[in-house]
Amino acid sequence: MTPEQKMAALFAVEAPLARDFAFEARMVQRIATRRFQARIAAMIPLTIAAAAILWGLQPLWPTVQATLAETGAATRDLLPALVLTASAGAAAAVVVWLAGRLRRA
Amino acid sequence: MIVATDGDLARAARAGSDAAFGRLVQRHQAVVRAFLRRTLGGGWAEADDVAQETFLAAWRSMRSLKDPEGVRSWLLGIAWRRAQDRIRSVQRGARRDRDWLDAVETPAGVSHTDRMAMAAAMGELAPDVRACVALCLADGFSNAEAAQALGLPLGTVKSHVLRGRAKLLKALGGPDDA
Repeated sequence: MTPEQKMAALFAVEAPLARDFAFEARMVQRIATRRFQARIAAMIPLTIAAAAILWGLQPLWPTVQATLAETGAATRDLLPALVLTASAGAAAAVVVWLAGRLRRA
Repeated sequence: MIVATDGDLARAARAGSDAAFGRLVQRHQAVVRAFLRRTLGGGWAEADDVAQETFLAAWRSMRSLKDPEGVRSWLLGIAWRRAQDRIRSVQRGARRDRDWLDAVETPAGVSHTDRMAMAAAMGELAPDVRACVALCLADGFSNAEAAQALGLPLGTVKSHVLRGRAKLLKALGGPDDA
């Protein structure tokens, strides 16, 4: 073998497989983990903002409850839970919508 | 079947497609890992770790990719910067460079002495010379593409390749002016 051929043979030994499923799988896993962490990190400020909005709306709840209470005595017992559920749902919708906008931005 | 180009995949990945980025990893993992194995030396596990860091860094900074068609050079540029950081790191001693290819089996027709001589010669090359040798001599890159990937002037790449080749050939029994 000439020195040139020996050099080529030694370089060739180091070449990885053209397809390495183990390496690709590890990369997919690491990227999925990073994306998950990034999403959680992006949600934290939005969640805090939503909680702050809910807290700020607290004084209005009795008014809302009273208005809704007029619609019927039968639903009176469920009103606090309904108001809280509706508020939480609205806040969650806002968070999801803003998170989607952030991802596309 | 239409095969997506690197540019198509890079644009899709930039738009947020993890599947497209996965295809880029599939296409370029071999060249990035080979480059890092030859540039870093030592164990292949370290080179593969740096390769993973390279692809993660690329995934995070897809938006900074200006030329989607040149994604291979861009990935190698990131790999080169990561390799330089690793070479400079305090854990990495000169001895590890001399342990070049220690874990590598000897190919048929090449003696153990030749393998060790090549290992020693590669270890003695300066990192940027080694990077040029890895891309141009081992992977068949053009000097211009290597210059773009490594961020070096074309003339520097040419002289690095010539000097590196001469040293490696001399170590393998070639003439002094190989």
